[in-house]
Amino acid sequence: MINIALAKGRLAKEGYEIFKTLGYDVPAMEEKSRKLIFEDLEKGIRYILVKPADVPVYVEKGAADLGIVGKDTLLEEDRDLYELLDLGFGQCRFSVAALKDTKVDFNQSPLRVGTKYPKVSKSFFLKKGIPVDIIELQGSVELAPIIGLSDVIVDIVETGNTLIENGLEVLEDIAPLSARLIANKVSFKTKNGQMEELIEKVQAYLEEQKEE
Amino acid sequence: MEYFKSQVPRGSKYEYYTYFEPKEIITSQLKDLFHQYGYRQIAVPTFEYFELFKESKGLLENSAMLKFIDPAGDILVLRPDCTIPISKMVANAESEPYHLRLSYVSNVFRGNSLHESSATEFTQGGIEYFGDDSPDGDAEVISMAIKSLLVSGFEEFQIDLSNINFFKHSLEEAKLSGDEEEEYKNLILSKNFTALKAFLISLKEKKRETPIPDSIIRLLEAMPTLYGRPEKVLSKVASFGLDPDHFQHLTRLMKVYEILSEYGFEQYLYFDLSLINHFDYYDGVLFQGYLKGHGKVIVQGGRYDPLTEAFGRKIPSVGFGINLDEVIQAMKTFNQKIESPYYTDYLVLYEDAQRKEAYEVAESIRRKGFVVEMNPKGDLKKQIQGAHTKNIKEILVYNDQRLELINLVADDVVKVYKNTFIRSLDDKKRDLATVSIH
Repeated sequence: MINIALAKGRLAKEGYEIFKTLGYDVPAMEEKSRKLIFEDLEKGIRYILVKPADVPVYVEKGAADLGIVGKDTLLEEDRDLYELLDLGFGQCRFSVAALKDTKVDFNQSPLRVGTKYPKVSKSFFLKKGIPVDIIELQGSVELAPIIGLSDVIVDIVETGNTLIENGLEVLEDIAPLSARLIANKVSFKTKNGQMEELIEKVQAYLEEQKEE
Repeated sequence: MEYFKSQVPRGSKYEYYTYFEPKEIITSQLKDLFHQYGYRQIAVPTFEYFELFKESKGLLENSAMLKFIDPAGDILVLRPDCTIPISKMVANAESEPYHLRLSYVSNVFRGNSLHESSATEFTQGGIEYFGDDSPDGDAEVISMAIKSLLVSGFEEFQIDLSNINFFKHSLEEAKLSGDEEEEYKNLILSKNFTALKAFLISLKEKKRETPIPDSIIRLLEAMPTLYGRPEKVLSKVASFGLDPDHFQHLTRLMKVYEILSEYGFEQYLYFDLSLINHFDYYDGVLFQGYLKGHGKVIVQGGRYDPLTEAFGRKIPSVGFGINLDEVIQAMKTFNQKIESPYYTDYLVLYEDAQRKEAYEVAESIRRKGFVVEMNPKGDLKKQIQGAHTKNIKEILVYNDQRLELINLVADDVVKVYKNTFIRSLDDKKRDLATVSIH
């Protein structure tokens, strides 16, 4: 039995679509329901729907053998696991943004950074040698510079429309992001046969996609 | 609510007998095993200088150690590891050790993984073998790791072997900068194939004094796939046309594998040449053991000659550690029954006036090797309820010469003479001994 943790939402949907194409479908997944566990004993597969930030936790601890989760979550959670494949979908990027047409004084110390991703922000500015005061927020991060809560924000940017609508602009990109297939380090080895087959199928599928 | 009355500090735990006794059983089985192979028991200090562990780079995040300051102003830590202090002890010993075999079972305090920022207290058992730099020494320690898993009751497990020098040699051939090495190691640790490819392309494009040979680039790229059955891995590596100096590390590893096969352990063994360890002191064979279906490393070890050298005397050293709390967790994962093998055979109840005689009866039963508890009689119904929850098999109610024997398993009551009863214990003892030893 292979347990796969999926980050609830779009990533779960698109990730499941790949598995479905490869013959690992569990029809109950496609019905509207509040269930969080879906399994097919014959195919030896079980999907677990969890919050994105919990996917790396499930996989690191071995509660799930595989997981599909955004690179953003992986960077922020920084867990001990294998990051096997870039699945290509869910593309966006981590960026630093500030109010448009306002010069940010990077010499001011510390720089106030509003973000949902304190670890990523901290290590980014640490590498740049800029002292920061991280202001951890749960949502609507774009508000922070407008209200004067922070000088810049670090957030996920997909199209950039949200930023523009709020009068912000990207100053610098930190890292490109997309969905990743991750694996528990021990399962990867001890469930080798079954896992290898699945991973190879996904890999072949991705290469096919690329060629098309 | 005052939190300290019910909460515990992060990383500490109370071990009730339902948890502690099974762990103790495994501990004593391990100690017996170590003893049978000539490993002498030692203990190292619970706290030591922070510098001792800080100096061993790569061991631990500083934040994963529990630090405190003694009245003299020195920073101390609760031991995050036993190997380092044992090496210190052996390196400082008066005479050069000759095939010195040491073992320990101690609690250590550290983050369980590199990513844990707070320390956890857990029990670690292990051996350290000094003064033998042969492949036989490596094989002995690995065989002990396998035996440890076997005596703990596991059968489905695997041990991954590598020679860290093969990995180190590959990096030296590539002549990477410190930062590049660090990045490469992280990519290997996370088997991040996508980023690895991009990283190697950037390496190739970067201008450097001596370009990295193509075969080495290919080897660096293949590294995370170099695992599996030894023959398979070896034939994969053979295709890279490495020079003999580089390949010798695998010859050594193969030798260790051959010895372990002679001992009959080949079914457990796999090679993983990308196996690297956060502990910086390893130099030579390196191994990790996992149970199938349990997502955590249970045993790990390897050769670490440079550690004793750092303490002033280079002594060949190889060892391993097993995390006993992880063993208990794994048993839970497999729904293996974790029951304490201890129980009380008899509960003797007495009235005030017969305390002395009851005590004598209890003592004679104990002398026969049974476990006896004694309570003032009080409410018999309550006593029976209590005995049930504690899994006590029989209650003896003391009434002069005649004993009332309440069998809680068969649910019956008989009256017997004291002497007859005590004599009957010999037979019972014999019966038990043939069925099981508890």
